[in-house]
Amino acid sequence: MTDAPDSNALVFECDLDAPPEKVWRAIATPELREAWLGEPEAGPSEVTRAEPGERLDLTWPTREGETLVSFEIEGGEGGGTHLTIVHRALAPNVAVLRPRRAAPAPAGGWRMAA
Amino acid sequence: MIGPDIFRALGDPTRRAVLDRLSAGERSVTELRVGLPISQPAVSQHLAALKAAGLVGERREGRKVFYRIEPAGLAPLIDWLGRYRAFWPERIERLKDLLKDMDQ
Repeated sequence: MTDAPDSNALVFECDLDAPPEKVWRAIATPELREAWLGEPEAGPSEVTRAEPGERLDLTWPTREGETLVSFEIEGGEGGGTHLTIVHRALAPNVAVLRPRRAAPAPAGGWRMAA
Repeated sequence: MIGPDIFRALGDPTRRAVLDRLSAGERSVTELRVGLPISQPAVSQHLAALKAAGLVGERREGRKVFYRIEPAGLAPLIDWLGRYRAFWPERIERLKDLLKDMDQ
């Protein structure tokens, strides 16, 4: 289940050459997750939502404040996995930060594929 | 964490509405309040929170105070974006490596 489009989140999508169950283990098992993801820069992260095989949400404390990371897992082509990572600050839709404004904002929106 | 929580300051819809109005230019509290369903003291309280987060500055002219966006206040957010734009592609590569090493 994907949330409504959020113009102020960083979104990364990638196709992984491993089945969804394996990707789920790499993301949901704390020791495995820490091996590739490491620890947040400003304190421990906490799982706020876990739907086995589909979605894991984590808090991710940063120097600028609390943020939230969602990992969404879907079956991909050839038995692989399509992974979507959404990283959002707790400040959705800040008008002054939208690219159409004169205020400094990244060109071309904040959505990208990894 | 360095300084006030900028995300928390931006997390409130009224504060975002106030910032949105200020993005059009300098305003007094009275001008900012027009069209907002809240009292003047409430607007002042939100302005104080935005000031504390470094997002809004003020200028006094006699008894009047004018508020404006403080562009430098957005720098931490731009910095955050820059860091995590680089962070996630790198972590995805590490995840791919880990998946190769994991047992089926």
